This record gives sequence, structure tokens and C-alpha cells, in this order.
Amino acid sequence: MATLPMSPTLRRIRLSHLFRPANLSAAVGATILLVLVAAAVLAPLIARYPPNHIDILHALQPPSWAHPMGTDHVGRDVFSRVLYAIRLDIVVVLFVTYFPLPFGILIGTVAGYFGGPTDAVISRIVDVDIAFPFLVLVIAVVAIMGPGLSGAIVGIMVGGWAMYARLARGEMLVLREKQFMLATKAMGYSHSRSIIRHALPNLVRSSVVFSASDVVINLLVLAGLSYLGLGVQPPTPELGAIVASGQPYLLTAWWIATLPGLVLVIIGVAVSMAGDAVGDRWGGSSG
Amino acid sequence: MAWYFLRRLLAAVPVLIGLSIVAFLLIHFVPGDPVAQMLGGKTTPAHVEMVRHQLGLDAPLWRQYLRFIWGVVHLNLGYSITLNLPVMHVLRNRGTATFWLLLYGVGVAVVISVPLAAWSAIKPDGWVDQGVRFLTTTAFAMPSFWLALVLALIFGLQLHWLPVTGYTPTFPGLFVSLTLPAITLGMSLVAVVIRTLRSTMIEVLSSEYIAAARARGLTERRILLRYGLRNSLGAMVTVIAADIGYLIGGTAVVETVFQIPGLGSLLVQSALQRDYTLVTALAFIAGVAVVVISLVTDFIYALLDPRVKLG
Amino acid sequence: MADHLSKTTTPHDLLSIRGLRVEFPPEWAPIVAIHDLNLTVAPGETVGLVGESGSGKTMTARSVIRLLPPTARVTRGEIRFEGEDVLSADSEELRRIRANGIGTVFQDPYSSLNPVARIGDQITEVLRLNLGLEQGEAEARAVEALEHVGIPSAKKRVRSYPHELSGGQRQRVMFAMATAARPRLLLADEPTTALDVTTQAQILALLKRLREETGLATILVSHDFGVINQTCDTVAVMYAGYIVEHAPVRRIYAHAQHPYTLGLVHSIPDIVPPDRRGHLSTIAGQPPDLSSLPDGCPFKPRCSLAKPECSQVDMTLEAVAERHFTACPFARN
Repeated sequence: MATLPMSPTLRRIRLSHLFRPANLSAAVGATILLVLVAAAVLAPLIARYPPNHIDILHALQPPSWAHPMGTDHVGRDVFSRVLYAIRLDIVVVLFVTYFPLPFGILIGTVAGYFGGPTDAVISRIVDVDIAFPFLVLVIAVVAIMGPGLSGAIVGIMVGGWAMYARLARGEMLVLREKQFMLATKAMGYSHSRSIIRHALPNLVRSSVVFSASDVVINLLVLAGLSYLGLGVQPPTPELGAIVASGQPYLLTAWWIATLPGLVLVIIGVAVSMAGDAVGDRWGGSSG
Repeated sequence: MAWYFLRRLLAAVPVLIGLSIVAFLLIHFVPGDPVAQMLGGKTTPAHVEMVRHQLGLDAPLWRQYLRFIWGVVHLNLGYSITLNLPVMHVLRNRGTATFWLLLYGVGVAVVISVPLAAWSAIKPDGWVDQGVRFLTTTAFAMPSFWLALVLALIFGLQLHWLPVTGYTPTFPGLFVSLTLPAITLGMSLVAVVIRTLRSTMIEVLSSEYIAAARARGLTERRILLRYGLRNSLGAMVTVIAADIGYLIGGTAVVETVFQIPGLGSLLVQSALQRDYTLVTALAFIAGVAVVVISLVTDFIYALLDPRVKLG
Repeated sequence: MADHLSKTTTPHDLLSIRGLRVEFPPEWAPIVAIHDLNLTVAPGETVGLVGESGSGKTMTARSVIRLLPPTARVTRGEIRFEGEDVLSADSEELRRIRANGIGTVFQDPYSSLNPVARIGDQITEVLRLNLGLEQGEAEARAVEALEHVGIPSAKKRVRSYPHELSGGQRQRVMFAMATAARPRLLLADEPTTALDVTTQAQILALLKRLREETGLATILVSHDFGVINQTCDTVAVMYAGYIVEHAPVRRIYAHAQHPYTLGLVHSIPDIVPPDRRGHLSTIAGQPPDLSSLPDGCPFKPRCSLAKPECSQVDMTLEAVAERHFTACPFARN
């Protein structure tokens, strides 16, 4: 059966490309991420103490061999807590970023493809969502649903999908005019076939490139919420929450508040580096 | 010129309406009874009903919405149960602190970004450029509450150079008390501004009219400032406006850490205390602020780039 | 080479280029854009540089004010303007030469003007900074300059932005800016290429008028022989970074010596009537690949007179008549 010539990009996306380091910083970023993911997965094995194991006698100890990141005000091993926190943060952030992504892309694609009133309505909804400052919207949702991880997750997703819809719509508008899309119309392909098989690969690109920054932003928002007491609730370990718990002891036991924050920075930098490399290869524009 | 802004204004109206609808509907998504939650535990059902009637929550939905819009137009955004004050009252008290913080934060971001971006653009991929790029990546990944604590620890608690809490409403105390918070807030903007400004300047500096200016014997300094920088300002203004939302959201954390009585810390407090009226009003204000700032930015951009007027 | 120079160079030449060589990286196998070029411009003379893209004509003009692409390197040669060494001038001297001595008009009027500044301001900038005029006087002179280059309603136009002017008008503004500081030499890099034929004629007329009024010397770069013919005194034909023929313009059509020049002349539609079968004659082959030029004469692959000896030719210019030089030893009248 004759098939339509595939859009040029589809041919280029092979799994092997993802694993070829484009340059040094991409390799460094990827390595750090691997280490972090390993730490997260192996947390129960590496952590020397259960994350909530209280030991008042050894409270507020500075970093040492026994406690690489010291202990907090109730004697919990900060390093163990950080390991479990990394686990939680990575899992939640990945879910919260990539679960809405396909929906956002689909909505944006539909808006761009059909144009007219469909586009107008969808675009207005997207505009409103983006107009709300992200953290403000998340806090509002959390206020409604009650502080806690589920509120945070819902809030971040409510605020996050819109950007993908906008990016996909933009790509779709450009793509609509391109040759191979006109060809699918000429051959009488149904709307869904045109969209799914031939437009999506291009549309996905700019969203995936953006998702790297989105992961970092969502991570910071999640940590920020937990810090404020609106996200993950104590005693569950989360990087922002641990920092908050260390704040009263900032002068005497600086390690509790500063080291977990450093871990956040490292995660963010690693994701950005890896994301930049992918972004350089794929570029932000279509075609 | 006038048509351009009229069109932008008209385009903003549906967004403003959408914002009001969302803000209005928020309270209706609360699981359970929002009024009871706002009042806390120790009330009678009669009291709850009275407050519900007071807030107009017993009327049909569409009427509630009209009351809401009516209130907005008359600058009446409701009543805060937890603070026992009209919302507008509270906003006025705490709004100035946030306003100055935002202004100061943007100022810090611009002052840091412009020289670094210009330096990077002159020699792309040179040492300075690579270093700056790494710094921006790091700045982008820094949680503001962490940066705030680190700055507070070093400059406030250890060195005693700057205050770490509180807010002095009058000059020059204003300037001093908001310095650490402004730096913290500005940092989140710096990464994005440097990146955009740098790439715009590189583009500008490699255009034909720059070569033509050189051929006329203009100094490199003049070319960099009056041609390179000046022609990139539009992009910078645009990106600041696009990210003003993040900055506004950032005030929630920064004000809380530094204990500044502004709208951001108010949002956090009211969320923790389930004051839905206040949360709703603040979310709405924040959204409107973003839209208004976008419009103002479009205006500034048109001033900077005369080609826009024809659009 | 010595022959060519001694017959045409005088101590009072406005511009003299000797032995210029410009290369592009990589250093171990450089791409040579200009090979050992010699050229002089006398005061008031208009010299045309003609050739295909890649012939080195634009590079040559840009070398004069050291406006080469950042990766290009001048590896040999000397360029003297009014006796001053341009290639080793420091940045301040170079700036002065560019500001007051040599004016430049670029090819694309759509991208050569600052899009966010009014054209009046762009002209007064030149007058204030390069001539030291006061703001008020500079503004008056700017209006004069616009009138001088033929822009109607100059007083109003002074406040316009570049995108409000047509291509032809923008090019006139460029001429105004380039000549505002009364330079002695004008570099015009394909000033009419981006314009339609009618506008082209107007710009060339403007160029002629400016020359006559101020005695301005000009280097005019073009790929269009017709333009060269209308405006230049002498023409240097370039190919693959070499000057292959150099002659007064009135000699070049009837008495072209070099096979490449002959090919160019014969491909002009209205000079030579099409042959009996109605074909337009063209030069066979492809433009040269500068990274892999053959030994000897670079035109050999496309030359209808090519001989094995062409690979040993050293491309020096030999006189074939009064002030007429060619690099092809085998072309005789």
C-alpha cells in the first residue's frame, strides 16, 4: 500500500540519537541525572537510617562520616531524608510534567488544526490559564483542595498544561501550510490520521524541549509549596520541607537548611544541561 | 498607533473575563462547605447560614457572578473572614510593599543582566560567555527560598550588612530592607533575561547595518551601546513582561522568608487559613496585574520599535 | 607584476593595493579568497571590479577598510590610502580613515540602515561625530544632504524611519551618509543589485553627479557589466581571487583579451545578437571551488582556449596595450 512520504522529522527521531552526547555539558548533565535517579531508586539500600527515625540524643549534629549531612533538630539523619526526598521529588515532578503534556499537545493541535471558533475558544482558555501567575494559581488550587501532596499535584497540573497547548498550536499553525500536510488533505485522509501520523512528530519537538525547563520550574514549585507548608506535609521528607525544618536553626545548624537546597540546585542544573543538549539538536522551531 | 492599542485592549477583555470566571468559580470547588471551613470549628449552623447569606453564596450561580463583577467594578472584592476586614482594605495596606519589591527586583535583574549579556554577546562562545551561561543555568535552578536563606545567612546573620526581616515603608529604609528580598526575587528573572538579551544582541550585532555603521567610522563603544543594546531592549522588555507572572508568584515565597507584609505572604497565609475570599481575590488581582503589565509592555515595545506601528 | 605597477602607479595615487592575499581557515589548508592582488586608484578615478560571486571582488573592496568577516585573515600585502598604511593602522587611525577618508555604500538597502532610528538622526550622527558639527547645524546639513541626493520633501523625510522609504530612497540615504563627511574615495559594493532597473538607472545617475561635483574617486563592485560600462573609467575583471584583466572601460568590449572577459562580454544580451539558432552564449562549467583550485590558471576548466601549458601560468598581469593588462599569455588579438 502506498504510504505518504513521512515528514522529514519522523525519520530523524531514533532512540539512539537520544543517547549520543552532543557535547560535554550534556554528558555531565546526563551523568548527574543518572546518579540522582540511581540514588532515588536505591534509597532504601543506601540510606543508613530510616528517614523518620528520631534520635533526640544526636540532634543537630554537624556533617560527619556517620551522618554525611548531619542531623536535624530531632536527630533524624538528614542524608537519609534527602535520599527519600529525591525519590519523591523526582517521581512527582516527572509525573506532574509529563502527564499533562500529551493532553496539552492534543488540545493545542486541535485548536491549531481546525481554526475558527474551536481555536478561539480553546485559545482563550489557554490564555486565561497562562495569565495567572503559576505559583499563585497553584497556591489557590491547594487552598481549595487543602494542603497536601494531592493538592500540589493537581495544582501544578492545572497550571502546567496550557503552555504545551500554546506551543503545539503555534507549531500546528505553521505546519498546516506545509506541503505534506496539504498533501494529506488532497489524498482525502481523515482529520485524525493527518494529525496523528504526520503532524504530531513535529509538534512534539518544541514541547519536549520546553519540558526540560518545565521540570525545573515544577520542581522548584513543589519544593516551594512544601517549604511554605502547603505541599508535602511533615513528616514526609521533601527537599523544600527539609529546608523549612532547618530554618529555625539556620545559625547553629546551617546544614539542615542549606544542603538539601544545594541538592535541588544540582538536580535543576543537571536537567537544564541535558535539556539544552536535546534542545540544541532539535531546535525550537518546526521543520 | 491608536488602533494598535485598541486592538490589544479588546483582545485582553476576554482574558479578563475568563480570569474573573475562574477566580469566581474557585470557591465553589471546595470539597465540603467553604463557609464552615472558613469559620473554623466553633460555630453554630445558624451562624454559618448567616455568614453564607452575608457572602451571597446562597444565591443562584449566575447572580453570584454578577455580584462579583459588580463588586470588582466598584473595587469591592469581598470580605475576609479570618482578618475581619474588607478585602480592599487589606490589599491597600499590603499592596505597596509588594509593589516596591517587584520594582526593585526587576531593577536588580536588569542591572545584573545587561552588562553580562552584552559582554557575552561581544564574544559568543568565549570564556565569559560560557561562564555566564553556566551561572544563568545555576540561577534558574535555584529555589528562591534557599537563595533567600543563604543570602540572609551570609549578609544578614553573619556579616550584619543588611536586615533579614521586616519592611520599612519609608525611604531610605525601604531600599535597605528590601535589598536582600529584591536580589532573591531578581535572580529568578536574571537567567531568562540574560539568555534572551544575549541572543538578541548577537543577532543585532551581526546585521548589515552594524557593519555599515562600522564602515562610517563609528566607535565600537557607540555601536555596542546605541545600536546593539538599544535595538535589543525591545526583546528584553518583552521577556520581562512574559515572565512577570513568575516574579509575582515568587513574591509569595520571598515575602514569607523575609517576613515582609505584602500580598505574596498574604496569599500564603490565607491559603493556610482557608480564607477563600482572600485567596480568590488575590488570585484574580494577580492575573489582572499580568494582563495589565502585558499591555503596558506592548506600549513600551511600540515606543522602542517604530516598525510595530504599521502592524 | 612589477611591470603592471610601474606603468600605472604614481606617488600620488589615492589608493594602492600591493600583493594583497586574503585567506580563510583552516590554517593548514587555507581557502584563498584573494591571491596576490595589485590595484591602484587615482584621485577622481572610478575603478570597476567585476566578476561572479566568489571572484573576490567584494572581499577586495572590504579589505580597503578592513571590514572583512571575522574569520578572514590578510596574510600578505600592503594597502595604502593617501600614503597611510591601512592594514597596520591602529583602531583609532582606522576609524578616522573610515569616518573621513573613505565612504561606503552597501548592497542591500533594506538591511543597511538602523531600523529603529530616524534617517535624519542617522545622518546627523555622521555629521556630528565625524565632522564635529553642532546639533543644529548638523540637522540643517542633513536636510541639505537628502535634497542633494534627490529625496523629495526632505524636511519631512528627515523624520522618517527606514521602513517608510522605498529601496531606491534608502539607497540614496546611504549615499548621503557615505558622502556626508566629504570622503576622497567611495566604495560602492553592488549598490544597485537589490533595485529594479529604473531605480538602478537613477542611482547610477546620482553616482555620476556626485563624482562630477566632488571629484570623488570610486571603487564600484558589480557582477553586471552594463553598470560598469556606464560609470567606470577602468575595470578590473576578477576570477577566483585573481585579477585576470585590467583595462580602460572603452577598450574592454571591443578588445577584451582574457577568455573569461570575452565570455562575460559575449553573454550580455544586447551587445551581441544571438547566433542563428537564437542561443545566448554562456560560459560553460561551474563557478570555481575556492578550496580546490587547479594549478596555474583557475579558469582553465572552463576555457575554450585551454592548453596543457595553462597549468604552469603564474597569473601575473602583462601589458597588451597602453594601460591594458591581462593574465592570459595565450590570448592575442
